[in-house]
Amino acid sequence: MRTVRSLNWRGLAEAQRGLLTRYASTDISKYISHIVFSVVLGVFAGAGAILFHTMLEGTRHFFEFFNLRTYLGVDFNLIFIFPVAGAVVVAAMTRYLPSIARERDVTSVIKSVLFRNGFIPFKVTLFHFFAPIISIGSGAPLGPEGPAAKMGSGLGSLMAQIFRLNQREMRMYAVAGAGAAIAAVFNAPIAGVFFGIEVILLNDLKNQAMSALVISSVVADVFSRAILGNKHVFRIPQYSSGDVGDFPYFLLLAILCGAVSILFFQLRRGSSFLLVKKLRLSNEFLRLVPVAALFGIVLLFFHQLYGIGYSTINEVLNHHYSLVIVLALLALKLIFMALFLEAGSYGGTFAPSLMIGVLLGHSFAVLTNAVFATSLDPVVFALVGMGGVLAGINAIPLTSILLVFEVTGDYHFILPLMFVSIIAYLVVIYINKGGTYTLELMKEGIDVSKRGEMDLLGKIKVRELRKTDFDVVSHRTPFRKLADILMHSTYGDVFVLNDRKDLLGVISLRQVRQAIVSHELTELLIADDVIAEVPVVTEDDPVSLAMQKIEEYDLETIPVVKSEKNRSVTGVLTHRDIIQAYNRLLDAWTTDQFLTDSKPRGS
Amino acid sequence: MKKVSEYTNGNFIKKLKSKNKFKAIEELARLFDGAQVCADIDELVNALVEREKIMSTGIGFGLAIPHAKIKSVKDIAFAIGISKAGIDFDSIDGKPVHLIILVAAGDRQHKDYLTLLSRIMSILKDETRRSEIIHAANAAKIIEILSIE
Repeated sequence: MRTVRSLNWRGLAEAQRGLLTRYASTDISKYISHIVFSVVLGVFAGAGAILFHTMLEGTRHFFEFFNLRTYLGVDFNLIFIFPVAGAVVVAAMTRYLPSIARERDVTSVIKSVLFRNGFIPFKVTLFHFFAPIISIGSGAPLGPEGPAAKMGSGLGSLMAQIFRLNQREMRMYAVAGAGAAIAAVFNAPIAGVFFGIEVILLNDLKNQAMSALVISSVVADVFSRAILGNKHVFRIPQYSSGDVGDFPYFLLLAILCGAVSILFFQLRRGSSFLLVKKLRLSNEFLRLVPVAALFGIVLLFFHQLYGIGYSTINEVLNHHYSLVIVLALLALKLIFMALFLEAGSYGGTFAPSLMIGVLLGHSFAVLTNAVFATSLDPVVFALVGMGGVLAGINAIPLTSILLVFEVTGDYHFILPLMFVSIIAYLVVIYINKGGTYTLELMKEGIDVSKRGEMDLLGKIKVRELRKTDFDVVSHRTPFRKLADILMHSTYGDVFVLNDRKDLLGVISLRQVRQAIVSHELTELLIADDVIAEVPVVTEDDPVSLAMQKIEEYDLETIPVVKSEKNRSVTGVLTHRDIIQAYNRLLDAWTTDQFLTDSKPRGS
Repeated sequence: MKKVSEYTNGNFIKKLKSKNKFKAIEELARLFDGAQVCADIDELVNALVEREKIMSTGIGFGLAIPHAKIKSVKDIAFAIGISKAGIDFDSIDGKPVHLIILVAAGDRQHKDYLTLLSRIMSILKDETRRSEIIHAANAAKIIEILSIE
């Protein structure tokens, strides 16, 4: 009896193991696991974003002028102390944890996806969770989205580490986490997805992370709405969405948005020059604290600049300020945003871009009405300006359109919003010759432009892809025989050799089809008569060079010769094989592939 | 499309004195001298001779079509040489050649080159036309014969 029971248990355990093994090896298990992990990540990223948001709001609320007296009995005039106090803490964090602090902003997420398969140490995630809360909470005029994206991708990476997922999956969930956090922070799931595509995946729509990105963003936003409520960030008053006649003014606004974005980049460069080159401030405290102190003094006169600025956006939209105040806020916001970023503070540029856009659009409409006696609605121009500046500064036109649409929850101004966002983006791209993140990566020697993709092929040598099943003929070959060889050739062309077996050129079927069809020429011609000049590559050349020559000469194949001097053919490289190799490399997406040779690798 | 006769002119037609095929080729190629066809006649002669050494362009029926495609030829053209006595060209049928059509083309005129050769061949496969050219009274008559395609 005991024996029978023992056998049953063993059999059951074996059956369970067998079922598990069979389940794990099926495709459906992979899909189900993928969905489950994406949902789990969405919940974690949503929870992280809620915590981030709550702590940030709590800090901001605590330091708000009108609450300071209540909580701390502090006089209003001492308000400038708080940005300084925040700056001291943040500078100390940067000074004593330099390697972790260096992993700042969104480009660090892009780099971790590109070069470290999405691996982000948890201490980095924790650091960049608290540093912006202190920084923005104590008044720095920056936004939460960069840190939120960093936290989201950090959580995705952590989940992959805990569950021992493979590198491909870690990369995928690091991307999905960033999008999910943006979705939760802004209550904008579509913008979260597009943030992942435009910023982290650098516009790669075919990436495997797409499904995880969508699922996690949806779950994170649902979770966030369930906890924080379903309210919109901005209170938009009644406005007239305008008519077709307003579009020339929208065009002007778009160009202005582009110009202001360029001005912001110039201010950043100027701030960097001032702090690093001119004043030589290498000490973290000396660099950030004076900027914070100056900002604190400015806050005494323009308290609207404090922190993220959503309340200021609402006040501008509801016409609480005069034109002079709005213009002053615009100038100061631009200057201090650039100064804080270059001085080493922590925060993103999305929320400040929204504020700058509102200030710009509003003042543009008010000024135009005053000068040209038009009746442009400042509210709609302010809303559209949000998208324009967001698209211009961050080079993310689609995310901008969707983010502004989702945070306002209003569809009526979508057409001018789309128009202004894309034009502002084009203005910036035209002048800067690249997007913000692309150029930031370029500074570190990381080329993700088209040239970078070609360099992907530059990492492999011709010898690795060459084939040896090519056809050759002597230059003396009569045309009748040549035609026969061509008809049966592997690639539809043959290489022509001289008497020393050196390459003279190529003859392709396409090139001599006419001669084959008109029988008159078969007795007259030989191979030598129909040779076409052909470029060559050597075995040690990079495949990118072969691809460049193939495209230039419109070829299907290119001969591989021993050397520039010794033109004996050792193989052939086909366009098809190069494309296949390129796709394989893209799939592998490993560390070194996007690095240019000119500069050291990004850390 | 240009007529075949438009690729030549009266100055490019000659009754040949040479008895040797290489000399005949050179004699004929020199007709292009100063005619804006080829910048380097020596290079053209050399290319034609080298090509002829690989395989004869004497295709039988008393006809030879030496041809070359080189960089120094600016515009595709052909010259016509007539030898009443006949020249030994190592032709396929072993018979002497009485009519030589010398074609010169630029190295990038591949398509036009093959088209012109093909059109010349289709005109001259007609024995009567060949005979009319060989026995034509003057160059103008030859061009007139070639203009009928």
